[in-house]
Parts: sequence; C-alpha cells; structure tokens
Amino acid sequence: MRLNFSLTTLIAALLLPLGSVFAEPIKFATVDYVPYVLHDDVHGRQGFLADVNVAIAERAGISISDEVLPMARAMKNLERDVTDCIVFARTPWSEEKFQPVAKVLDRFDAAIFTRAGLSIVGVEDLNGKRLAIPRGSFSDSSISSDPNIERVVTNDYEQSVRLLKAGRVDAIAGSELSIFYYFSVEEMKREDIGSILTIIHASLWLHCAKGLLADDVVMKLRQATDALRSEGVFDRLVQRYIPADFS
Amino acid sequence: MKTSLPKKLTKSLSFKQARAAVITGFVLGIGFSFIQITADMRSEIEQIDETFEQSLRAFEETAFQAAFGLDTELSQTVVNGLFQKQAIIEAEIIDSYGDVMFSRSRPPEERSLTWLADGLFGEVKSYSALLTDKNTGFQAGNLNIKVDTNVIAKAFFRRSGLILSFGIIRNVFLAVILTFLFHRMLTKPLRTLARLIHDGAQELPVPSSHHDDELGAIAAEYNQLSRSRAEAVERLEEEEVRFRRLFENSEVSLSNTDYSEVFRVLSKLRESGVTDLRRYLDDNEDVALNVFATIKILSVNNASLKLFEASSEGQLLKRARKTLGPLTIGMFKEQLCAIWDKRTAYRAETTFHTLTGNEVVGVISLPIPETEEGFRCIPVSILDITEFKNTETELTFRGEIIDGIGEGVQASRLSDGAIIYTNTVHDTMFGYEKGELIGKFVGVVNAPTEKTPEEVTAHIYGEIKAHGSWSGEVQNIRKDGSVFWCEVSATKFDHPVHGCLVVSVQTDVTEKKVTEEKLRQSQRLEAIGQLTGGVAHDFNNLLAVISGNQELLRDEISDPEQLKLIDASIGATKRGSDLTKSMLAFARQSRLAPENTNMNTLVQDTKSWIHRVLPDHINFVTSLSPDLWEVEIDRSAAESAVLNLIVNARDAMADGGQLSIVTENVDIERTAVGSLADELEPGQYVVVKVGDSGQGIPKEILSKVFEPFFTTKPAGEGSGLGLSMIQGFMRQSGGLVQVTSELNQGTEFTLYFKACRSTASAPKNVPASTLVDITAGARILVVEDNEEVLEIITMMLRRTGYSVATANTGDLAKAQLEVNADFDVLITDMVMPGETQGSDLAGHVASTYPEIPVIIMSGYTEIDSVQYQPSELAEPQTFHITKPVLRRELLSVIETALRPEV
Repeated sequence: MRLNFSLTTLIAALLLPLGSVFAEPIKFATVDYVPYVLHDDVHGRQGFLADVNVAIAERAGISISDEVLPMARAMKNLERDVTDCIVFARTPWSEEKFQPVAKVLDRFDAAIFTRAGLSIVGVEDLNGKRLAIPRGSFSDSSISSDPNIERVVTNDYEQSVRLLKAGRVDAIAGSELSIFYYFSVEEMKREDIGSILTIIHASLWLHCAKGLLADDVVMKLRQATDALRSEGVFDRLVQRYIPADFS
Repeated sequence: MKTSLPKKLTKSLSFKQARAAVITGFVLGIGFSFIQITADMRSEIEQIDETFEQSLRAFEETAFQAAFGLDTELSQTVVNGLFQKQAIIEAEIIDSYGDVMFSRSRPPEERSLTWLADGLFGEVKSYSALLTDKNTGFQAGNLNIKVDTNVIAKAFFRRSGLILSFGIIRNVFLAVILTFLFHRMLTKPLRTLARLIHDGAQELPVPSSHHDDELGAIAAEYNQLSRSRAEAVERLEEEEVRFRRLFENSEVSLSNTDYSEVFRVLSKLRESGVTDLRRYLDDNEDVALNVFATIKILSVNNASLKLFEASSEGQLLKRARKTLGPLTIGMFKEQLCAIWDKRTAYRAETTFHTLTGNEVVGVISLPIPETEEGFRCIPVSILDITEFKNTETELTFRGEIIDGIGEGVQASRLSDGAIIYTNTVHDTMFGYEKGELIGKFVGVVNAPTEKTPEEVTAHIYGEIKAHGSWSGEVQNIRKDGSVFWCEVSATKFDHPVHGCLVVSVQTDVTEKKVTEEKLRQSQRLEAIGQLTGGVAHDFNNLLAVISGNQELLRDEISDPEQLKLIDASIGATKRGSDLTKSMLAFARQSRLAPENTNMNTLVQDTKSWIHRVLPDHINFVTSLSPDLWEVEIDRSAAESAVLNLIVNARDAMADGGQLSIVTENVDIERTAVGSLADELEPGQYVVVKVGDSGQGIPKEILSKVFEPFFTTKPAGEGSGLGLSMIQGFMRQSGGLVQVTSELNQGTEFTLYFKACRSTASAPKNVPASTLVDITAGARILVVEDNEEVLEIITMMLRRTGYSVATANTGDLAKAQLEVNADFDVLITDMVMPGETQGSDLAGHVASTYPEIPVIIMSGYTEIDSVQYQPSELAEPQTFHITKPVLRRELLSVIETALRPEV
C-alpha cells in the first residue's frame, strides 16, 4: 500500500507539467468594436483588446485562442460557458453574471463630444441641439429619451464622427476610445471639436466565466493582468489607437 | 309483321353511339383533366416550395446577421418582412443557443375547401433555413417558417374548377352534335335497310351517297349473302334427301335418340352426392332399367327394324325395352358410366334381343355430347356382327384344332416364301416363341446341307408348283442351332387374301431315323453274324475233319520229322479254330461259360501281365469301386475283351499317354432315356471303362468300329474282329459296349455287365484236357449229318475202343433209339436236316432215356437260331462241346459223361 501510494504520487508529479503543455487553450473573445478589434488595418494593428489579450496570455504563460464576436454573442458565449474570458467594461450586471478577474484600464468612459465652438457642461446644454447616437446605444441614458434633444440615429461611431466633422450634427455620443480612434482616422485634432462631457464612467476588466477555469489559471491571469497594468503596458497599448491630442 | 326498329330516340343507334362517345369522352376528359390537375398540383407544390425557399434565401443573410449578433431588433425586422407573405402564418429565428430570438404567428385562414387543401398539400407546410457563415461555416441559428396550405391551394382550386367545368360543357355540346350527325349519317340509312330486310327484300338498294362506304358494303354483302343463302338452302334440301335415303338404306342400324332425361337423372345423382356411379348402379339394379326407360327413340332406319325384327318403327319404339338382355343391361351401365365420366364417345360390343326373342351381336357406338343440349338428339349406330362372330367362333375353333394337333403346321406364301402361320407345335419344335417366325423366310428353318436353305425351298416349291404337293424328309435347324429331321407333307392352297400358299405338316422324325439307323445297323450286323456263324460252322466242320484226320494220321506216324510236320498242321488247325471262335463271338454264338466274377479282381489280375503289353511311356491307372457287384460272365471272354481294349488303347497312344480302367456300379432306371435305355434292360450293372488319352477316333468312323473286319491298323496288324468280338460277347452276355471319343483328347470304351446277386453254378464245361481212362466197349450213338465229320469221329472213337453206332439225322437217331436204346452215350450235332434237331434229340433222350447222357457237339452254339429250352441245356446229363474237337477233349467229355462221379 505504501509503495502504491508513492508510485501514484510519482506518476502524478510527472504528468502535472505535461498537463499544462497539452491543455486546451483558454478561449478568449474580443468584442467586435473599433478600435478594440481592427480588421485589415493598414498599419497591421489587431485592435486594442486583441493586443491586451495577447499581452495577458504571454505574461501569464498560457495558451489562448481569441475569437472576435459581436457584443451580444460575446456576452452570451461567456454566459453559456462557450467562451472562457473577455475584456469589457465592468458593471453591476457583469459582476453578477461573471467573475471579474482583474482591471485592465480605468479609462473606459462614455462621453458627449460637441462640435468646435459648442461648449457644454451638462446634458441640458444639448437642448435644441442635434445629437448623433448609434442605433441601440445609450438606451438607458436620458439622452435617448430627452425630448429636447434632437437625436440623429447613426449606424455606428464612424458615421457619427463624420456627421460631426461635416457639421451635420452638434454633438455625438459614444465610447471615448472609439470616438478618439475615429477622430484619428478622420485626422481630427483637439481643436476640431468642442467640449467632451463624460456621461458614464467605467473601467475595463478581464472577466471570466464563473467556475469554468481552474483557480490557478484564474490566478495566473489575474497576476499577469495586474502586472501589466501596473507596468503601464495597457496605457501604452491604448496610445497605439488614439491621437496624441486625446491621450 | 311489325318491324323491330326502336321507336324511342334513346333506343336508336345514333343515340347509343353519341352516348357512348360522350361517356367515353367524358370519362377520358375527366381522366385527362385529373391527370392535368394532378400534374398541375405537383407543379404547384414544387412552385410553392421554390417560392418559400426563395423567400427564406432572401432573408437568410439578414437573419444570419441578426442571429450572429444576437440582434433582436434585426430579427424582428426579418420576421416581419417574411410576414408580408399572406401564406406565412408562423416565422421565427432561433439562435445557435436554441433560444428564440423573435417569433411571430397568426391563425390560418378558414376556407370551405380546407379539408381538400389539407388532403392534397397537408395541413401546414414548414420550411427552414440554417443560418450559416459562408466563410467559416459557423451556424448562428435557424430561420423557420410555416405556410398555410389554404392560401396556397386557393389559386390551384380555381384553375382546377375551370378545367373541369369547361370539360363538362364541351362534352354536352359534343353529345348533341354527335347524336345529330350519327342519326343523319348512320341510323337513318340503317333503319331504311332494316325495314327493307324486314319486308323480305332479296335485293337491297344501295343509296348513292353510300356507294363506297360501309353501308353500301353491307347492302352489297347482304345481297350476295341472300343469293348464296338461296343456293345453300337449295343444296341443303338436296343433301337432306340424299342423307335421308342413306339413313333409310344403311345396312347399319341408325337411330336418333333423346338422352336428355338420362343427362338430368345423372346430374341429379351427382348433386345428391353419388360419386361412384358403377357401384351405385350395381347396388341399385332397377336404376339402369328405369333410366333406360327414359330414353326416347326419335327415329330409326330400316336396318334397325331388320336388326330387331320389328315390323314397323312404331312397334320398335313401343317395345324397345324388349331388346334388353342381361348383357345389354351391363352394356347400358357401361354407357351410363361413360356419360358420367364425360368421355367423348362410347363404343361396345354386346348381345341384343330382337323383338321375337332372338339374340343378335352388335357393336353399338354413340358420341357423348359436351352440353345438355346435345343430349336431346344423339345418333346411335348398331352394327350387326352376329354372322361375323359366328364365323369368328368357327375359325377360332378350327384354329384351336390346328394349333392343338401334334404335328407342326406351317403356311407360307408361294410367291415370296414368307411364313404367315405356324401352330404352337411348330414353334415349339423349332424352338421359337409363338408367332416369332411370322413374316420370316421359310428357308430360315432349313439346315444348311450340301444345299442352301434357298435351294431346298426352291426345290420343294418347284415340286409343289408342278404337282400340287410334295412330301419328303428335310433336315431342319432349330433357333438354338441344333439340327433335326422332319418328315414334311406340303400341299398347295389358294387363299383369297394371301394368294397361293404352301401348307405343310412337319413331323420330327429324328428319333425315328436314329432308331431306324440302329435297326439297320443291327440287322446288318445280324446278317453278318449269321453269315459269319454259318461260315464258321461249315469251317468248323472242315476243321473237325482236318483235325480228326490229322490226329488219326498222327497215331500212324512215328517218324519225328513227320510228327513235326503233322503237329504243325494240327497247330494251324487249332489257330483256324480260334479264328472261327472269334467269328462266332462276334456272331454271339460263342460257347460261353458264365461264372461269378468280380471285375475288380479281373482288372487287378490284369496288372500282373499288363507291363508286358504297355510301353513305359504309357501310364496305367485304375479306379476301382470298393463295393463292386459281381457279374456272371465268361471270365475268359471278359479278360479277352479287356485285353483287346488295352491293346487298342496302347496303339492309339504311340507318343505315350495315360490308360485308365475304372469300375463302378450303375443302376439303369426304367425311365432312363437314350441309348442305354434302348439297349439295356433296366437293372443293376457293373461298368468297366477303359480309356486312353490318345488321338481319338474321327466321328465319321466311330459308328463303324464295331463292324467285323473294320480296322484302321496297317495290314497284318489287326484282324478287325477285336471290337466286333467284344460287342458280340457283351450282347451275348446281356450287356453292352459303348464308345465315346474326342479327337486329340482320347477314347473311352464302357462295358456294361449285368450284375448278379445269386451265386452262379460253376461252369459245367469240359474238364481240362488231360489223359483220360477209356471205358472200353462203351456204346456210343453218334448223330452227325456231315459224312466226313461222322466218319472221322466214328473212326476216332472206334480206334479208342468204343462201340460206335451212327445216324445222319436226328430223325434217324430217334428211330434207331426206339429200336435199340442200349447206348451209354449219345453224341449229336446241333444242326441237322430233318425235323429233329440236336436239341430236340437231346430233349427227347433226356425225357425218354434219362440214363443216357447226351453230348451236344456243334460248330456254333445256335442259341439264337435253334429253338430249344435252356432248361434242357441245363440237364445234368447234357454236355457241350464245340467243333472242331480235338480227340483228347472229345474223349475227356465222353468219359466225364460216362462217369459222372468223376
């Protein structure tokens, strides 16, 4: 009996390292929004969150697969244990549904950007103004229901930025990182816009499905993410996608 | 008479034709419409499927985007877009997780033909599209719709209704038009023709507008048919007259008979469960009679009246039942069974009774119809064969006589020699099966001789053609190849069918010929024997004179040289005497001295001297039966016979071989067949077989070997008397000698000696010739017809010292004895002139003067030729001596007779 126990222990010890080597890669998903994911970028960039996922994986020393998905499918995948981990904004909903593992970035706010010459300090300053809002976004915000704001529904942030650049709308609403990216695409400078009014503050977190990954894996992911964040790696990655004027 | 033309339009041909056309058109129209509708339905279903699958394909991309992005709003847009189609009553998008992203439905339409639409297309049709990324193959979800078949079927039903409605309307119009056209073009002209035909028109007019069509053809054909029918009726009437005449004048009894009631009765019996009619009729005797009574004779011809001795048809019909007899009833039962078994015809020979009670034999025949209708009139024929049967019986009787006679009877055609008849005896005689020779050439039974069978036949046929008959003997051959003789008596006979025939009666005469041959041989040998015996007798007398004179002369001579000469002369006389003995032996006239002899002993004794006869290269073997019976024979003669056979066997084996002697007992039964039975008395015999393995005797001379002086040996080496002497000896002894021989195999002689059980008396012969004491002065009467012999004997006896008286005949001797019987001994010859022969004289002396012993002296024994009783010879006072007698022997016998105690 004693001998058997020793042998079993020995075999387990030998097989444990092999387990990590041959283990299935951790399934990451990235939400298909620019600039978190870029398709056919002329500069060869993969997108901010794609870069983040790679950095975390490399730092944690684990193998991952990264799948680009629409937001709803990405969330449902994580909910249904199809995807292991996703980096997205932490909310009370996300805390309930998933396991927030580690913070990636504090700066993941939603804001209203006005045209040059228009300065606002509050939402009420938009009364009588034309506000471009992508279809389906800000559904819970007052800017979607305020009858005093003339809302122009766009297909995406890119269309909103172009409308703003063309002076067709007075302001646009959207995620800061996305809007900034399109500003860079449209080669707009800080002086080309007016005020920036943050209306929703949020931080970007690495979320994993509850109870799906082993604790040691989650631990590695957390440690790697924390380390990268503290080292400013993520901030540097952000700057690859937004103009310097808005960094 | 009214016409049978229809009054109502609906009964008219045009209406019927139009109706048939319309119904046919309607049925075909409906059928084809249904086919069209069915094809349309299939096309409709395919079209519907294609339409809704296209709709799904149109929304598939958008639906994929909605499902992939889990965009509920977009899903709603897609579903609502699909709902623009009225037939879609349910639509939904389901994501890859199985969750319904958006679903919409509405109730199906309510329509009157919902049941039909449900039956044709199903209650609801469902379609589904799998939402797949074309690049990655990722399945984001499903787009499903359900379609209300009522909406689909609406247009289809409308089209189908139109098709059917137009079809019906078209047929109605067609019916009206066709009825009109048919009536005008067909019915009306036909009615006209029918009316004319009804009115009996022999010739129908052909309307000008119908000259070349079917109506014109009908009219023309009718006219032709009408003319042909008129001619046929005329011919039929003539035929009827002829057939009636034939029926009435036929020699065969013909009748038309109604069997319909018979058919009904049999049908009822079958329905009532009868399965075996024969048994049923046998169990119910009255049924056949009752059924017969139901037969109705419709008509009969004159031959029927004649056959049944009826004065009129009415009388025959009325008293038909009287024609039945027991045999006829049996025949009628058979007839019923034939009908029952549904055979096609019935034919039988039976005996009928005429109305006057006479019996006639006839062959009844009738066809058996297949249907009940046919039983109403069945032609029945009865052929009167009474005369034929009588003739047949007579011929059979004669044939049996010919077949039963003990001779072979054969009939052949003179023209070609073909055999056309043989009786049983003939076939048996020739070894053929009955009738096997029929058709064969008559010469096939003739044995090939110096003439071929064809030549024999040609000779006999030639004689018959010339003289009408021939008789003679023919050598025939059996089927097994054996040849036999037939006595043939052949006569020419003219036969009405076969032409000129040769009828021959043949008798197997083989046995008769063999017997005749034996008789002829026997007679020849007998004649030779008599001749030989006579010669020997005379020669013996001569020798007796010579011998006596020589002996008397010797008494007078003392010169040794002269004595030598006279002794040589006496020796030659003795050899001459031996020769005559052989001749007498062949002639069965030897003087034999029978005594009980065991042939085994005789053969054993042979061994003591045979080595002197046989050369070393001949092996001598014996096989002797241990319990051999004794025989009563002259032992000396038997030894001589065996020696003769041994010498012959030796001569037949110049190159060596084996000589065998076998003895055995045989019983010749009274029933034995063959030569033994012919030549031997039934009884027990001892057989001695002397066989050799020499060259054998050719067949052609085998039958001559027993003839005297026949020899195959070189001149001087054989007298030719050996075998003939053996044959004479054996016959004289009551036995037989037979010979069998095979070339290069050997020859075997078989001697049959009659066996004896009683002890035979010792031979009462002359004692050994030694010097005897002479009773001087004894009175002796010598009777001898030969003067020289008498003189010599007288001189010899007187010189010896006897007192001698002589007589030349038996009659003189008898007379002399009556005068003076004072004699001590009587010596007499056997054969003499006059009434009293030697034996008569001996008998007379034995009975009248018993004290006088008698010495019978003869040149041969005369046993066969002289009639005296053997008992006489057996008298104790009678002695025998054979000429030529040497003086010493004669004196010894005389002294023995004078002194019987010696």
